[in-house]
Amino acid sequence: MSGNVVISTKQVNMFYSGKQAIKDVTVNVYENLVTAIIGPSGCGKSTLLRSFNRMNDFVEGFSVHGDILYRGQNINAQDVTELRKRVGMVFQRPNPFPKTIYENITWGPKIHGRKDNLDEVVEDSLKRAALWDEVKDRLHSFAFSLSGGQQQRLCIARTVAMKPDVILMDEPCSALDPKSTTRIEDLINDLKKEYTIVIVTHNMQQAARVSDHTAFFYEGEMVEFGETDSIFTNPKKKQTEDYITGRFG
Amino acid sequence: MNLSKKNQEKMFKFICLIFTSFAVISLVVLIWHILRDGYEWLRPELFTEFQSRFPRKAGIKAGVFGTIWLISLTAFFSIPLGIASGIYLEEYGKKGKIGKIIEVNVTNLAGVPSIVYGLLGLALFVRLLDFGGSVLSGALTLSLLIMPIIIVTTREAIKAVPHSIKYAAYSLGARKYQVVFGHVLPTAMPGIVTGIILALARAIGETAPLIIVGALAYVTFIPESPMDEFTVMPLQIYNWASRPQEDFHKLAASSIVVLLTITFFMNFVAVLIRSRGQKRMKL
Repeated sequence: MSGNVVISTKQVNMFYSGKQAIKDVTVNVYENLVTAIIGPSGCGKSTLLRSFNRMNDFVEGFSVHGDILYRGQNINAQDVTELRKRVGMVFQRPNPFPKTIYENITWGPKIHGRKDNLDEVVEDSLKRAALWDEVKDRLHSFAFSLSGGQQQRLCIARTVAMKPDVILMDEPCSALDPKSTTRIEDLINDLKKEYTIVIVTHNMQQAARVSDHTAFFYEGEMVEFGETDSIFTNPKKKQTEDYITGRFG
Repeated sequence: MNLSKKNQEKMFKFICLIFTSFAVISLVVLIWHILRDGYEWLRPELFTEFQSRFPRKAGIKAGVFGTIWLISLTAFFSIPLGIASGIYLEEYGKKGKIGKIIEVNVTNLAGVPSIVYGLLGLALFVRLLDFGGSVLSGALTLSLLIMPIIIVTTREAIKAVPHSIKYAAYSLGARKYQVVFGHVLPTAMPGIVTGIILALARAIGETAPLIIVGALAYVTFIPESPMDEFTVMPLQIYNWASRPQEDFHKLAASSIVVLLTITFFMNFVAVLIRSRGQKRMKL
């Protein structure tokens, strides 16, 4: 594996009120690639993902031991708002703001001081999220009037509008129908040209389809990490093989 | 007695219906009585005349203007303080033991009898700060009285804002105040406004603390500044109702109709805002 490392962890342990959720995980996320984190429910994959942009800070009793680096710098040593600006996030359920489509996109850039050419930002972000053609005539209607799949693409557009470096996706398709899922997966393929993507997914086929690297987690430990092709065709560990062949999980 | 499950169900429904109708019927009877006593005294003079010894010449002009003064000042003090405290307690205050104690105490304050607030107002505003029996003293006292209500409803409304919205905002690199002003408050606003209206509707009807603070029952002028003495509608009603002449009782009834109309209208607006807010939040 080569390329620039964007996010890396070194022997990281994470706890929820003393209960260990992540054990000794060392992993690298590479630039302009899609890294998938797979594993059964409760294996810690979302915990790890949310720690990359420090969203776990909101969880009472959560603690991290060990270093998580973004572009070589410890994420706790930088301003958390700067970090989140660079490392954006798409959530499990579409969560647009209860505002218009236009305002959903512009809110992020606005709070970071951007005032002009907001129309351009909106158009550009919606185009990147493959939503522009569907909503260009109703930018000022309410975001909740969109379908679930469209709302999720709006959330992706909202993240993209920040011009992030990394996009974290926490099971972005789990609340969507198969057709919308396909659209999001196509979108991920387009987005990785410009962004580094980390995606947590329950769905192994999805990991196989969209990712370049796959990390398999089980009970808080990273069992195996490697190129997606080799993980899925030639897993080195028995556990990985059992999981991807559907024997558990 | 061996009732079948189905009959038990019917029975329970019936009992609930009886108790519900009890409340509704008493309200209807009350309103009917007041209307019967007061309708003939509901005439323009009621609003254009001050207090008088003669029922024919008496009106609630001083009470109406006093109430407007009092409620405006009360709103001016209690709304910003109440909302700010609610935001602080819900968003910034530590959730530990002290937070819990404050929470319980604020909730308890909402249940303290209003006369106690009156005594506090008398000691603090009338005497210590020397505001006298002025509109200002009354408004500050009522502000203390309704602030807990505003704080509690503000907190409830803020609590009801979905976490997913806050997280979305934080994930864009927003700071807390940006999340609060950009999303939490706008989303919680219908709930907060509803709480404020209900609290003010309660303040309009308060009598006891104002008597203690020194509001007058017999006023023949309109307050021109916050330091002026005043009366309010409920106080005039109280005054008239305790007089021996029957015409004054009728005058009181007609004033009650005015007061009830105002509070019903405020409650109606609150319900309207709440239902519109709910519609907006539906996904």
